[in-house]
Amino acid sequence: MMVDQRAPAAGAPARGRRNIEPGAVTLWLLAALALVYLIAPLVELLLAEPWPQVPAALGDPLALDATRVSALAATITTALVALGGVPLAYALARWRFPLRPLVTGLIFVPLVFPAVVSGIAQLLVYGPYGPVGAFFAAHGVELSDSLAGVVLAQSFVAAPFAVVAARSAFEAVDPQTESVAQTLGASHWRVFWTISLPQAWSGALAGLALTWLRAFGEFGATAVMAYHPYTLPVYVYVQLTGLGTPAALPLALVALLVCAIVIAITLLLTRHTRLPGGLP
Amino acid sequence: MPSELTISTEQEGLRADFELTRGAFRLGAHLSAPPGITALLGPSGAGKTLTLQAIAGLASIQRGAIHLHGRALADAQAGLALAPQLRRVGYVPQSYALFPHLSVGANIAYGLAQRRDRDSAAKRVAELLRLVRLPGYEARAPRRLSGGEAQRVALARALAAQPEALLLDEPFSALDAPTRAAVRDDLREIALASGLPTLLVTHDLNEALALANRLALVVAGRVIAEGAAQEVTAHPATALAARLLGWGAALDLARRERVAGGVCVTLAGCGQSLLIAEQDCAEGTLASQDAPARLALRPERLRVAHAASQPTDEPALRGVIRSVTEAGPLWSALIALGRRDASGEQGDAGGATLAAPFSAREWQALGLAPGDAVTLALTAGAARLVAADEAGREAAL
Repeated sequence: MMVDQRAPAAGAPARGRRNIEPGAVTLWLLAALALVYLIAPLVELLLAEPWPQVPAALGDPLALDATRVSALAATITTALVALGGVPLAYALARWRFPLRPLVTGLIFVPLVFPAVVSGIAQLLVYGPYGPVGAFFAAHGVELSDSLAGVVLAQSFVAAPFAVVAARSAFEAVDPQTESVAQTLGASHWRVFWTISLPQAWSGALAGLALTWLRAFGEFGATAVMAYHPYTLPVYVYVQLTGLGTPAALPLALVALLVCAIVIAITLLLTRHTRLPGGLP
Repeated sequence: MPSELTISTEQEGLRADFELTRGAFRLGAHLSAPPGITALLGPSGAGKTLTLQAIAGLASIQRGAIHLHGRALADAQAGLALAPQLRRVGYVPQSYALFPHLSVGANIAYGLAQRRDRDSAAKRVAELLRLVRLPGYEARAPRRLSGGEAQRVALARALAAQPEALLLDEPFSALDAPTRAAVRDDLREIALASGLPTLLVTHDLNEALALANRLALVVAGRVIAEGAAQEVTAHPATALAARLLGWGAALDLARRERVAGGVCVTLAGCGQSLLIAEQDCAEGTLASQDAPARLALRPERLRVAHAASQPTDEPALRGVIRSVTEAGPLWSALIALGRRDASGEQGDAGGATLAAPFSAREWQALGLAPGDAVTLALTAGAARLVAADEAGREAAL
């Protein structure tokens, strides 16, 4: 007969009902420490906030403008990233092509580049003397120091979040469902829209939300590519360097609030996996 | 290359003659599936699924062609490879691959030609759900279905697209044994009622025989036998084929000699000799004396009797019952070939053993016990001289 080695031997003292394992406690402590580290600056920010001055600071037309520019640019950025980044993620997840590992690696470049360097690199392409920038400038469109410049800077830095998340989401889709859909008469195009994307949607959406948030908070590349019009992070920096922390803190509150709203919306959108279906 | 004539006679159904390479694996599939069910039988890794994928257009062929009712789905020489969506071949993979984000109804409606017309689509979906005996399941989520239900939804989804052939990959592997038996007859009925050429992949001989009237045996990327199920199982060409087709044992030979009317073989180990009639010798074992051969037996077709009882005209082997086990409705007797030695123990050392099945009633009627000497009469179709496989290859499988 097999004897279960884990069973306590007869006569051994029964242990307490709750089995507290030292390893588990260690994991919990480390997790708690990380959480404290992440939350501490936020808490401190709220504590240091000069609350009486907040309404006035929020009424500052420059602050409102900067918030508007940041939000608008982040939204355009996210739309552009969705348009190109999601298909790129699908291609990386599904298609086998030469240099695929290299392309996959390249996606991470904006994540590891210092944002300022990204800005400089972009300026070389889209700036008034760059090949693309010069072409547009000749036709009266300024790519740097404009909303377009903000979008370009944000897109470069924030796109990887969506591409990486969407790629994982597409990889998690059972390829057999795509194959079967094809045998049922669906074209590649229809398979992508009706089978692949809906299954990967919540993952892709989470990635796009990260892209929006990253774009909204982008500072380094934006400061180089498009110092004007002020985005919220650039304006915070301007206020910080000009007037010090008290002037910058109410603006930080705005950034915090916007981010909280977007995160809440994303959670709501991705929480329910609905069952759409054309038929009852 | 099939001639003009064979193409015209193979108009009905599916005809696949192709080769493809995937990594180090070479697949050469040569088989046909007329209307009705054809089982593609073989061990795992034989290339069965890849064969279905090539027919469905999900894997590309490098040589040869695939025809469905005389229409070319792929023809490597002509550079033709229809996209999967143009082949009209229904494919049900092993996992069923239901679309998890769509309801059962929407899964089935996916391939409907009239899916844009809501009313007629809903009507057709309801019809198909009745056909697979899941009426009223339209709004269910696939993840709430049992394995048997999921399989039937997948089948209904494939039929909805009005395919001209059906490909079913291990349709029962995801099901537990009782469900399997219950679902098997349903599937057979639905597939036969559709009138479609149906190619069904399985590694289970009993499943193949229960469902299909035709059999194609695939081993290591090659179709080594094809035809009516009873014909194929009765005529294995090699020891490996015999084993895969349910033959119980393939005995080594010490000697074999061509005589009038057949081949006289002497078994290795026990040294017993038998005359195997010409019609019971696989191709190649008659002509070439050099090619190694083995004697395949179907233990269920051996007539077992007490050694002391009346001898028959049929050629017979002698053996000693070593042990008996009761396995469900069947009893299995392990019989050592050879004569009992003086000590009353077992037959000659080194002699082969074989396991013979009995019904409980048969076993009791025989009144045998371990240690008894028996004769094993070879009734028609019980023994066949087959080519021995290269040892390495069979072991690898």
